Amino acid sequence: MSSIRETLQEVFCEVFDDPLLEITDEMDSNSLMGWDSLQHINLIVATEKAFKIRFNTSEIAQLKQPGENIGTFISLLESKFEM
Amino acid sequence: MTLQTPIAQIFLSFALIILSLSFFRRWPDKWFLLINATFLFILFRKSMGSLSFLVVSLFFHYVILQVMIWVVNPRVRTSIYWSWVAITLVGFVAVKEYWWLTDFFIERSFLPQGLETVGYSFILFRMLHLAIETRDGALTSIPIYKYLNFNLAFWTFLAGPIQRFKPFCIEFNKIATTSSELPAREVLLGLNRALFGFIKMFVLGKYLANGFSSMPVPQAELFTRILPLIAFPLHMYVNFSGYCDIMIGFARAVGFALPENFRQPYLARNSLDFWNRWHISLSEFFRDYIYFPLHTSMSRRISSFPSLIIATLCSFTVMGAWHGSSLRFAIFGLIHAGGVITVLLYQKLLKKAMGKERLHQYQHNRAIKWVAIASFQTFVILSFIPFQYDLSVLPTVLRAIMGWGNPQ
Repeated sequence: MSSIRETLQEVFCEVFDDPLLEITDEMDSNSLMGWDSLQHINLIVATEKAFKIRFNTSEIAQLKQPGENIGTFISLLESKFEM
Repeated sequence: MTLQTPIAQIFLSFALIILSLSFFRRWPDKWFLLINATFLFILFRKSMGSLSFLVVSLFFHYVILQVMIWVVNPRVRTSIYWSWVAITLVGFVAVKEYWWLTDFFIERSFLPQGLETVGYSFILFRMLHLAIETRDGALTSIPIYKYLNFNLAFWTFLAGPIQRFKPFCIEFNKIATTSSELPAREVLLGLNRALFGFIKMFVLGKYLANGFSSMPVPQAELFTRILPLIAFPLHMYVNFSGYCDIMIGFARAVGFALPENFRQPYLARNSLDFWNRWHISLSEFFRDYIYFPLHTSMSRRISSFPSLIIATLCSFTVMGAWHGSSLRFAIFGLIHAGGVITVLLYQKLLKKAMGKERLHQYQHNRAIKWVAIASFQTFVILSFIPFQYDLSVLPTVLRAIMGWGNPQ
């Protein structure tokens, strides 16, 4: 069974249409080209499908706030599986 | 209370002094509430009934929020939330006199009229934000002093910037607990920003206001006819960004960071870019609390593109309508929704035709950039026409701009 990071990596490659994309904890919506509001929704929906989970409004908005990055995205996913 | 009145300037000076003195840090919540209560008293001094209504509304919302925090079951919390949304929105359109909406359902004589509702539009955002975060379990505690100060903070009460609750608490704790003096440079930079804002609002703003004080006349030269259309959006920018500069500057002078609201909107090259530069805290609010949930919930069921169109249309129309109770503001929002949808379709087509790399080069081409800016700024000027003129005079204005019609 692949880890959260590996599955998220696949989701990012698929959504951003870039098989060579490698995600890092520090990457955020400002540093990753094309991570705009539209792509954010595609990312959220693809992540929900891949992990069979649902994000609520606050979580979706939170991930686009300054200071939030892929590291916090992974922490949020981990917290969802701990519940 | 407009900022050029002596009472406003005396209030701002006193507020700044109290916030800077060391005794403020002994009871920061209480002192700040006293400052904000004074502000409200000055603002509503001629309409105490409206002030009472505001206070009662604030306590009603607080009780609902506390109930949502107390309820453990997420489904019950969601039901309370939606009931709250219905009551709040009906109350909002009623007291703000959105006749084009309420006339369908209820006689005007049954609704409260003439209430002083200054600041309500921004309170609605703060309430909605608190309610959503509480419903989703992101907020588990809202102390009463923090709640009141968050909603009534004098520097954001009238016209934003729209700050979120957690950043507000972080910033407030900073000014409440800092034992050392704020660096003089920070204070000066803050005051400098505020001064710059005053100049923008009261010098440049007044000058630009002359440019659209009269209606276009069909017999005038072309430039004279279109001058009011150019002067109005410029005045809006100078006036509103000047106001934000004053408040952001004052807050910075006491060590409190407010979010930025403008980033050179006159350099925007399309509608998407514009709303990332113009009234940023408002567009982020609509993005986070209307566009994102709407688009996500539809994307889970239907294809992404139709859901994008529907979510964009809804978000921008509501955002336009929020600006004022007349239908023309909703039309303004609808025009910008059209702008955003056009950009998205155009970008999609370009990406398909050019590929990622060539599209990137195209977007960074200097000539293309300036042509895009010039064309888009013309669109901005035209989009502000329904914002500027009432629908009843709009046909006359449009005829006059085209040089048609008789002298008034």
